[in-house]
Amino acid sequence: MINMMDTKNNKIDEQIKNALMQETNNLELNNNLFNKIKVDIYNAENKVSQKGNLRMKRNFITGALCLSVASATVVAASYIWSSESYSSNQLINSLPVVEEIESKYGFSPKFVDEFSNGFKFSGYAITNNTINKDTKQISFEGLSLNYEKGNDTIYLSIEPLSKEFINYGDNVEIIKTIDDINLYYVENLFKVVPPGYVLTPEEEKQQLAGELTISFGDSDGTVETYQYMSWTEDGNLYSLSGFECDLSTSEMLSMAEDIINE
Amino acid sequence: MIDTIEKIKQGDLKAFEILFNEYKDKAFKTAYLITHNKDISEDIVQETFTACYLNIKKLKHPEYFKTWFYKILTRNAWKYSAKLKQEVAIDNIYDKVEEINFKNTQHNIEYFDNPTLNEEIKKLNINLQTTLILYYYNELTVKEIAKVMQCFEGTVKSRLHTARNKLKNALAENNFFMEGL
Repeated sequence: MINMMDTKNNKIDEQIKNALMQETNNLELNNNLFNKIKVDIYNAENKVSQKGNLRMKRNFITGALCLSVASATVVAASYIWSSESYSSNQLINSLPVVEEIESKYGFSPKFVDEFSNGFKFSGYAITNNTINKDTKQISFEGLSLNYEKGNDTIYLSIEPLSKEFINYGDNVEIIKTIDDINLYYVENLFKVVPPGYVLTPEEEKQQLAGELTISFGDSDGTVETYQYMSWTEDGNLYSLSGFECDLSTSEMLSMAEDIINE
Repeated sequence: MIDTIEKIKQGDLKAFEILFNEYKDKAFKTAYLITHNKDISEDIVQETFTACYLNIKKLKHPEYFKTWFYKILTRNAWKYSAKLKQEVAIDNIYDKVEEINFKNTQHNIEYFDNPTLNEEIKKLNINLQTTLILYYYNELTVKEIAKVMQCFEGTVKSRLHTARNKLKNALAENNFFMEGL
């Protein structure tokens, strides 16, 4: 004979289990969380002060400088030649005029006023870039645009760069192909260090493994999570990037599609 | 798993990512069951894994990783839960409304009684709730729960018994409980 008490307990056991499972059924964890954890670990191990606000620290890497350095770093990562980007101009708050860019700088960029996920244009700058590869040195101007939504900023850079200078390396993966355009994506850690800074052996290891992107500038050494999506179209290198933004990959993809479909 | 933990002790972040992927969902949902707040639960998971990596060298017996990990997680969850009780977070209210709307649109007849049961679970004190969650949701044994909660096995059994009885009585009072209980 089945013990009546056991049956009762089995039923409540099942009910509790089901209730707890149901309560958590639709929960999804942020897909960038592991990068955030790596940042915390990195900063804890390197005893970086976190007293300041990360968003304040990001202000120094405004617009053009930030994005150009970021994209050039990715380009440079696997070739090990030096690259330099800077903007000598202040951010301009009105949308750039395509015809002006064409006539002054010789390339035709595509961009939007507002992305479908609500990021709105907030300013642009012309960037000056120099790349050294072997004995070759090329200089060119690029366009960098800032888009803002709440406290987050996304940077779109457009640079007329021929394919021989573009190599994403092994850690940047093709995430989607749209009309023969390969979209490359990477999430990793980004650290801005002062000029003359010597990388620690651990940082060199992380950089070689594609886990850390180092850039030189005004910095207190804090590390941030970094998302980067890039593609080439009509001879231009397009790069979308964000710091501590928590955008999902599909959201980044839809932003890239907004530009491609423009 | 023991190999993975030994690699993490040597600073292997790839091994740590494997461990993270294995535990992240359960950790997140456990934190949510204790705090009932998604954003806070993400913070708890972030803090727990960070602490886990930074302190893993102190774990002398890798075979006890699971109980060691859940001990850190529950302590963090309790800490945030206590803070939450002192605050009325507007975000949480919106989360709750969204959640209720979602559930209403699901027309989930099969588990129609579970929202009531969940409400009753939330009314239990933090020790009873945590014991219940670790036992039913995380499927930890009484012995493991005793290690996580740093109490005697008898205390865990007694908490489970008390929690079950409280839930049965509450549901019976609400006339929601199934016939035969």
